[in-house]
Amino acid sequence: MNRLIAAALLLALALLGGCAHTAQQSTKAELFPLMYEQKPRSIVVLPPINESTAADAPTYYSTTIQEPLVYTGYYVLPYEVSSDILAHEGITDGHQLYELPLNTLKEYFGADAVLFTRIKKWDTSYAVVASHLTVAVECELKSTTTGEKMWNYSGTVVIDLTSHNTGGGLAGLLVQVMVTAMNTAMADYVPYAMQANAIALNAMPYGPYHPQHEQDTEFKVFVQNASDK
Amino acid sequence: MTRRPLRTVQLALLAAAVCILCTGCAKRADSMYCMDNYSSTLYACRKNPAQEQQDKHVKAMEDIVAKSEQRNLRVPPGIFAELGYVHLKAGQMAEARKYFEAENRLYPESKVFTTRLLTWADASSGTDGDKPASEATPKGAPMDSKGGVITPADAVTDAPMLPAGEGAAHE
Repeated sequence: MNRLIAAALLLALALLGGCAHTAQQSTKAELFPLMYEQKPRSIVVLPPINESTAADAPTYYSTTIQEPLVYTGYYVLPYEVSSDILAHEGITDGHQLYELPLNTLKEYFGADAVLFTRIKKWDTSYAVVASHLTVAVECELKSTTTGEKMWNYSGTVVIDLTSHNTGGGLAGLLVQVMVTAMNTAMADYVPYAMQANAIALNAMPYGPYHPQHEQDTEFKVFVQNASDK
Repeated sequence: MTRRPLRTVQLALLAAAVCILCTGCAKRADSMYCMDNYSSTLYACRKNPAQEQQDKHVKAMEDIVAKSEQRNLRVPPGIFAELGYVHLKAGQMAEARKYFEAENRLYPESKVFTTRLLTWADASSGTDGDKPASEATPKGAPMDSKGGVITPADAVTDAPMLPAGEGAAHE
């Protein structure tokens, strides 16, 4: 019985995490002790570093990260405002700040932590019926006080864009193909992009506004074997 | 006896995983904040910065405030500040001020940020507000720590952020 549940859980999480070929399981406290020691409350999101071939990727990413991050329980500076201010400073890409001391961000924005993101892949694959959004990102949450890396995520998320039309027969299939094509063409990936971001943030310890703040140390998370491993 | 707790944890995890799969976090999300169409209208804005899209995004944020109050939820972080910023850019300083103060009150973490925005609002309240890179010095505008005059657009370029150790003193 136990084994069955474990297997089901594994399957569910594998589905959730997209193509996690190999995964290891650890608790949040084991993986990200600094989050529980330094207790960051506020986060400023930097413009993403785009290494994907999709020109749209940074826009999708940056407009859909705030919502899941807020739901994780942190005070998140409104990206529209912080990115505007940074743009006035000539910073349009997180890369420009990567090597710089982060305490200036503390002085300027009052943020405890800064979120760097590297978008490795942001692809929509389109087959006859199935259509997927594949998002591969590397995120790092660094302390603006010590510059230390407090949290990171590296992984690939695959989101199914297929509309779940259950019409039968060839007509049903045709409708489904058309709807999928339309879905892809209309390119309203906002909900999917948000979903991909939410999954990436899944392993982040909850912030002070989350009801389970500081109660999630023993929560198990699956870590995809990342490229840096 | 020793197996029981483990099983409960596993069951709970399984339930959570299934829940997330089915609802895409919508359930958990609803109980904390109401963010409505925020991401969608923001994306539309970025994609096509026409006034119409901006107006829709502002409307979405105003709806978030209204709905949050209706449902007795905390207005999500950043919404008041972003609304204030929209008014700041439009030169409506009194409105901007109101929103920045609301953000400040609701989220003490925003203090440094909202104080900075409030300084800009004050600095430009005697001028047109949204004249970027204006050489004109507004009369009686407050000085920043280096003695320079802050206006919203200039302030950003004036206040040094990048040179390490030269950031405007703010504590």
